[in-house]
Amino acid sequence: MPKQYGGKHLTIAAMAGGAFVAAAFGAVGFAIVGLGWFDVAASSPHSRLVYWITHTTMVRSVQAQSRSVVAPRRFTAAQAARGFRAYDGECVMCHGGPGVPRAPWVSGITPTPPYLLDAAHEWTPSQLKIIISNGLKMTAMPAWNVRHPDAQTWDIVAFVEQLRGMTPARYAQMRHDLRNRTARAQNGRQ
Amino acid sequence: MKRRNNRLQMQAVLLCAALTACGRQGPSPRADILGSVDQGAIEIDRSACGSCHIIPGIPGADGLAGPPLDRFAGRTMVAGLLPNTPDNLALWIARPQEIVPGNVMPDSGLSVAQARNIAAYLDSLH
Ligand code: HEC
Ligand code: HEC
Repeated sequence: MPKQYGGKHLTIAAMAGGAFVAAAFGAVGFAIVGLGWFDVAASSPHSRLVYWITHTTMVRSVQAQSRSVVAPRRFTAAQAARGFRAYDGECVMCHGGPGVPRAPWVSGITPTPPYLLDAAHEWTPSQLKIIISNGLKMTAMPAWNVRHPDAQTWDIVAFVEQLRGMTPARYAQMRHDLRNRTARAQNGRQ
Repeated sequence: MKRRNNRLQMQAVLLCAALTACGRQGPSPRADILGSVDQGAIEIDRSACGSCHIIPGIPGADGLAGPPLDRFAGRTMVAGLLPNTPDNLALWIARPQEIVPGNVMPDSGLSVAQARNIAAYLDSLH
C-alpha cells in the first residue's frame, strides 16, 4: 500500500525536522544564556526585537492579571490629593510630572521610566493598580505593595488619572498646598 | 516626435529627482552640522521623549501629551514660536522652560552636545 508507505516517510521526515529545529533553538538558547551573547548593559537601549518581546510580554501580563481587579466606580478629590503626596514623594523622581523633570540619574535606567501624563489613556484603573502594587519584573519599577496597602494604592491611581491634562501650574499648586498642610500639622504637634 | 521624446525624458528625469528627494531617509546636510543622528536616537530613548511625543523610528514613542514630531525636518517653527533653525531646535530641546515658561515639557538637564544630537535626529525625519 504505497499511500501508507509515503505517510510513514512523511512522519519520519517531520520528526527529524522537528528535532533539528528544537536542537537549533536549544543551541541558540544556550549561547544566549551560557555564552554571554545577550548584552545586559543598561547603557545601551534594548534592540527592537528585545523591546518588542519584553514590552508585549509586560502589556499582556498586566492585562491578564488585572482582569479580576475591580476598580472603584469613581475617585474623589480627597483620594487624588492623598495620592499626590505619595506620587510627589515616591514616584516623581523616576516618572517626572507636568513641567517637572525626572532625577538626572534616571536616564541611566533601561527601560527608562516614562512620564505618566497619558498613562490613564493607555491603562485602565485596574491595570494601573496592578502595575503599581505588583511592580514590573526586570525593570526598575518596584512593587509598591511593600509600602502601600490596597486603599492607598487606589489613591495613587486616583492621582495618576488626574495627571492626564494636568498643567504645571496645577502641579506646583498641589506641591504648595501639601507643604502648607505638612507645616500646619507639624505646628499643631508642637 | 522628437520633441515629445524630449518631453518624456524631461518628465522621467523630474520624476526620478522627485522620487529620490521624497524617498530620502536619513540625515540631511543640516543634520550633519548638528550632531550624530544615531546618538540622538539613543538620547531620545534615554530621555523618555517618546512618553510625551509620537516620534517615528523610536520604539514605544507614542506619547500624546505633546505634539507629534514626525516630518520635523520640514517644520517651519519650533513650538510655534521660534524659526526651526538647528540652533533654535537644540535650544528648545535643552531648555524649553526658558522659551515658554510654565509649559508641560520639562528642562531635562541635557548638555548642548546631547541636545544637538537629538536635534540632528529630528532633522532626519522627512
Ligand atoms: C526607581 C524608579 C521608579 C520609581 C521610583 C517608580 N517607577 Fe514606575 N516605572 C519604572 C520603570 C523602569 C517602569 C517600566 C518602564 C517600561 O516597562 O518600559 C515603570 C513603569 C510604571 C508604569 C507603567 C507605565 C507605562 O505606561 O508603561 C506606571 C503606571 C508606573 N510605573 C507608576 C509608578 C508609580 C505610581 C510610582 C510611585 C508610587 C512609581 N511608578 C515609581 C520605574 C520607577
Ligand atoms: C512631559 C511631556 C514632555 C516631554 C517629556 C518632552 N516633551 Fe517635547 N513637548 C511637550 C509639549 C507639551 C510641547 C508643546 C510645547 C509648546 O508648544 O509650548 C512640546 C514641544 C516639543 C517640540 C516642538 C514641537 C513643535 O511642534 O513645534 C519639540 C521639538 C520637542 N517637544 C522635543 C522633545 C524632545 C526631544 C524631548 C526629549 C528630550 C521632549 N520633547 C520631551 C511635552 C514634552
